[in-house]
Amino acid sequence: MYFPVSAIFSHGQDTRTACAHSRPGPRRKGIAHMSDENIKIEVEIFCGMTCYMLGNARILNIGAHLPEKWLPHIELMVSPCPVDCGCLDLAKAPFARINGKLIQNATLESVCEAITEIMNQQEA
Amino acid sequence: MEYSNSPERQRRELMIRLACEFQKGTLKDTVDKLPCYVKPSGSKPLHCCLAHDREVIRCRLMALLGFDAQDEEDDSRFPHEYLELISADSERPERPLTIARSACSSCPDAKIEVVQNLCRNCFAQTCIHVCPNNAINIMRGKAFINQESCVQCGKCLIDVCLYNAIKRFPIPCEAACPVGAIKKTELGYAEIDFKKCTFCGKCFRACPYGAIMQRSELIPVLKLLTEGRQAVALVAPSTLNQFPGGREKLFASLRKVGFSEIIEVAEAAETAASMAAEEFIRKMKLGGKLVADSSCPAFVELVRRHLPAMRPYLSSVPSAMALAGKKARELYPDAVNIFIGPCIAKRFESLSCPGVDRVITIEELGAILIALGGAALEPQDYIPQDPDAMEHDFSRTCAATGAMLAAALESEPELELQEKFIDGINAQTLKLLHLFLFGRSHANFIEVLGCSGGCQNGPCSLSIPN
Repeated sequence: MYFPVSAIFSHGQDTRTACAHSRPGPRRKGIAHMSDENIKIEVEIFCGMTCYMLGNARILNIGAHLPEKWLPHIELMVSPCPVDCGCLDLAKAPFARINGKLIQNATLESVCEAITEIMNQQEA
Repeated sequence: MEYSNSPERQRRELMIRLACEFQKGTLKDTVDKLPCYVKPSGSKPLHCCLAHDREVIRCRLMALLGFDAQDEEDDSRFPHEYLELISADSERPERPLTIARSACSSCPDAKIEVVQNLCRNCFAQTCIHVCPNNAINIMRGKAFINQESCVQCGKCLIDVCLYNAIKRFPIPCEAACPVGAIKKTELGYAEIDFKKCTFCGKCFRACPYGAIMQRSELIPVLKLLTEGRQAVALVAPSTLNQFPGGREKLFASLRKVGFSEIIEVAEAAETAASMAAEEFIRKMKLGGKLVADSSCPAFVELVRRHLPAMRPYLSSVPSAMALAGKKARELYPDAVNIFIGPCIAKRFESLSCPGVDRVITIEELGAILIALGGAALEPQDYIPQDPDAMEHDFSRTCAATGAMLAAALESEPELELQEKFIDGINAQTLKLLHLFLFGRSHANFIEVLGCSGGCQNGPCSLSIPN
């Protein structure tokens, strides 16, 4: 069950809408052009209270840390804590999921790194 | 830009563990083992070894239990012994901040140094020429600063070395403190001078080792809520947008964990702002030259302890927290009033507010919600919103005094408002405040916020709203 960011955060900017409206950056030589159809990265941030407190509140601002031209390809979703994520194991929280792959001890940096890896693979 | 912060994460993890173990009724048995749970065998040590890491966690636990880790009387005490001393009516700590000495890394003295790998021993040798004290020499083909001669003027730092080989190495907590209240002792540990401290929490945020902690009231509040005492939540405006789900969900969560009544401090903030506007008009009519807003407790302490010349100009209007506490006391005389906000200085201010009995931060509230089930709500937990509640939206979103003042002055055309807003107290803004005193600024009303970006950027905030 997914909610857009704006539905969860009264103060928050709907990052998904923001992504959809931002324009892709200029093409760079030697790099394949990414069209909306062929690349889509689903970034799922768990915002159960434990994950939110332990760092996911920061990860929601991920749009500010990524190149603007990547934003149209990123679908940021905020979801309540799923039963299977092991949220009671505080040593592994917070969690995020990128294209179905669960990341433990998620940080802004580790989520950015995972997205960068996928984008670089697509660009290569 | 906000980056991940390991000490902050560990502090919150400890809060959650403490609250959850308390709720299960097993805290007394497990509190001594928490350092081992957080740093189990086989995990990578942050300090020299796991034993040191666990000692750091023990000191953090002391602070989270509300005790002073800086001047520990008996080092041999276990956390459960401290826990036994706590009750719902325990005395509140007079000093909200403390330093876990085992966590303090005894940072090297602040100095300007040459990064040897970057120095190219260039022909220009500009750094040597600009130094007024001849402190820079060439040794073994690299520039070298003689620390005994260096007067830390910083002339060699500014656009002198084109290879950026000269750097200033600060002590983060000392550099962050705008009033010089934190210093290294002879033993090398940082120590807070509480005669100078304004409790702004900047050192708390700056220390990369998380050695500076606040003395929490988490356990007494948990005891109050679980004992079924009547508790009133005084919710600061900056708390409302810190949790997922917004205001309606937060209020439902507060009721679920045991708060019997909720009072929004935003309403009192409007009252305080209109009182400040009245005071400003009265003082200006009597020929006053300046009024300083008193809504930020860190600024009030700054004026009291470091800017005595500004005391006559400080507004006498009580803070919104004090007004909300007074109202709560009138409405619910037998209840315990608990203020919830992101501010450390409020803890200190509340000691002199008769209407406020306890203060918890947003982080501590998060741990309480997780432990007492306030985070997981059912549809029936939601309470229909008060249709008049949106009235205070303005006070919830911004510092209201200046705007309220502008509105009040519309009926006083002979008075002109020249407002100066200071966003964050630091060394630069401190100099600016001195300018007001010497009459070198034309402002007649100053509004100062201790934290840059306002209360929602307070030292214990969870998220930074867009």
